[in-house]
Amino acid sequence: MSVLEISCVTKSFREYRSEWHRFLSWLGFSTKPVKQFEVLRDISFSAEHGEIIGIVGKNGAGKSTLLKVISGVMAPTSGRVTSTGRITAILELGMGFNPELTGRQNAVYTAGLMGFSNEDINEALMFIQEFSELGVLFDDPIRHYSSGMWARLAFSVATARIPEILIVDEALSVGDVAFQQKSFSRIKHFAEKGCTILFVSHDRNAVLSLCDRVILLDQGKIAQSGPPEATMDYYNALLAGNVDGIVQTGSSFDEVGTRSGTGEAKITGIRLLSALGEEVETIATGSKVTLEVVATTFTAIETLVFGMSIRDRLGQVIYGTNTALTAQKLQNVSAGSSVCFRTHFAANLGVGAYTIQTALVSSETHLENNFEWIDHALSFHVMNPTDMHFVGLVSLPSSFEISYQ
Amino acid sequence: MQERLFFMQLWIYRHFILVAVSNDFRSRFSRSTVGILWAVLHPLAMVAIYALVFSHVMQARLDGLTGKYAFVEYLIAGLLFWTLFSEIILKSLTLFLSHAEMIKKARFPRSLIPIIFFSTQLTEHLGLIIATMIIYYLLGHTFSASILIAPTFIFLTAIFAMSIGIILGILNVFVRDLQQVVPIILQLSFWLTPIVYPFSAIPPDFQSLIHFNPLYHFVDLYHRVIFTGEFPLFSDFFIPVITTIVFSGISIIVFTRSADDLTDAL
Repeated sequence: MSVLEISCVTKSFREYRSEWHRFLSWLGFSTKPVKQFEVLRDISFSAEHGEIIGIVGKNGAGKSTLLKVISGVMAPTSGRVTSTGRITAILELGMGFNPELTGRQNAVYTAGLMGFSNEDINEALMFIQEFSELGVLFDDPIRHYSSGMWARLAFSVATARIPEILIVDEALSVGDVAFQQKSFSRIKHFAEKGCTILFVSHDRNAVLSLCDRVILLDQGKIAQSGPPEATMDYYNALLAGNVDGIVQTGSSFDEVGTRSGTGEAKITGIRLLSALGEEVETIATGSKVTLEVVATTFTAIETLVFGMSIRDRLGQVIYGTNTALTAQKLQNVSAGSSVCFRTHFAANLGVGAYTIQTALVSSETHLENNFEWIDHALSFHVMNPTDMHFVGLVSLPSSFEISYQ
Repeated sequence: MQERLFFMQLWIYRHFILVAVSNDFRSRFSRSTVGILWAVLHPLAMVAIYALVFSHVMQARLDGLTGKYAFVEYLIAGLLFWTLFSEIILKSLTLFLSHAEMIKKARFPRSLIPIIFFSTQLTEHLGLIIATMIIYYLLGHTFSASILIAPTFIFLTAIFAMSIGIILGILNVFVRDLQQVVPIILQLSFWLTPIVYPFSAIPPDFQSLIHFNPLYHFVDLYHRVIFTGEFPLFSDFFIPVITTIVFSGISIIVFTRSADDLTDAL
């Protein structure tokens, strides 16, 4: 029998014509909501004893709402959640901590809020003090703590007792690396003890190394569910196809990207091409690719500069260049011309999702005569099909020379 | 979440409620030198200022009552009621808003929020009660045995205010205007209730109208028992008890029925 059974769960937020209609609905009058936003649609799955299930999906896919509904913080609009056993939900670490109180007092409070009995609390305090590695600072006001110490305390309190079902919302990457590993093994220990774990994470490695199964949510629905690797690959494809949900890749150039500028010149086409000239969305690390951009002018332009930069999923610029830096400014471009810029580069990038930002300006900086600036003109994904794995954003081919001295 | 029986929760979480109340005081006074003493010093100063202003500066007198401090004593008894009543209502307005994070992200019986708040307010009110007793004593007031009845109507007042507070606190999550409107209505009720003026000061034509103000029946108990020192009749409790039952009934209905919407809206 499954420990946790989620059947046809739908969650929608209701909006009434006026809040007074909402109040009347509490008192039993039938008032119809004007709008319903569906955040979760018909979600069904079950979890077995000791199973670790990862829940992934883009921002706004409904992951957190799903965890809230399962943990009982929110009620589903329709459908049912049935569980046999105690649920602990870590939806936010260190919530309700009071900086004026000591670590111990905060631990007692939080454990109490989680429904611990007095005996449970006394038992848990020993574990918390030891696991959090706070030592004597445990009896200091937590306003003296560093953010890492704060997080360690919070994690220790949250995992002091082994529940039958643990629900974690992105709480595994707290503290320094050593503590992260410690918290990882704590979670694994839970699973060994037969605890069923549901967790949301954006960390691919965490998902792959912990989960037995992964559920991918997209727009409130289960888009895919299955073995971790296969589901994560599907998820990556989804991500690469639509990073941040702003612009589609390839030739399906989208007019609604984050554009700004005066509009004398506009980009009317953008494609990423492989060395063979085929349009691609996913490329191998180190492969030679070409970014092909077609710009159209609407008025005569004295000086036209094209610029592009590659940004990682956090929006940091990994590399950027423009035709002013390469002394290839176009002069006196007449109205109605179509110019094709091909940028050839080797994708010496680490595995991950990237976006390309484009700019049409009149000088090196985009401050002066910014004709057009697009934040997410295109997105692509980098894979590493070789055996040489590496970490980081940039590929810097290296070799080791080792000798005894 | 299926709410378990109210009193069951109260019992299961009894230690937690205690911890939460004491944490509230601890953190509030944690970095002050006299600490918890402020809980009495603060209301003491407030009451002392009233005593000074009305006995010496304004030299207010009550008709038919001799004694230099009669008016001050009358005023303090009324303020004891009003402070408890208005503080609970004003603070409940933001009770659910200020616990938004907790409500959205933790799994616990929602009724703990008003229970802990209520316990904290009552504990804090003890400070004002002690301050009142001290000032009464200093003014040379002698207490009669009727004072032993006082806890009943103080508790009744607190429950009454809490019930109104819960309803307003929930509505305020959806319609924030209440935060602005309620203080004004409270001001108005303050002046419509005989607190700074005696009942006898009301023009005879309006005296019968004042009976429709439920607050009058509460403050009347305070005046009779604490100030005059009489034993109240059972019938004096009739209106306060009925209004409290009605309002707590409404507040329980609103609280349980709004639970799902509240989590979504916060």
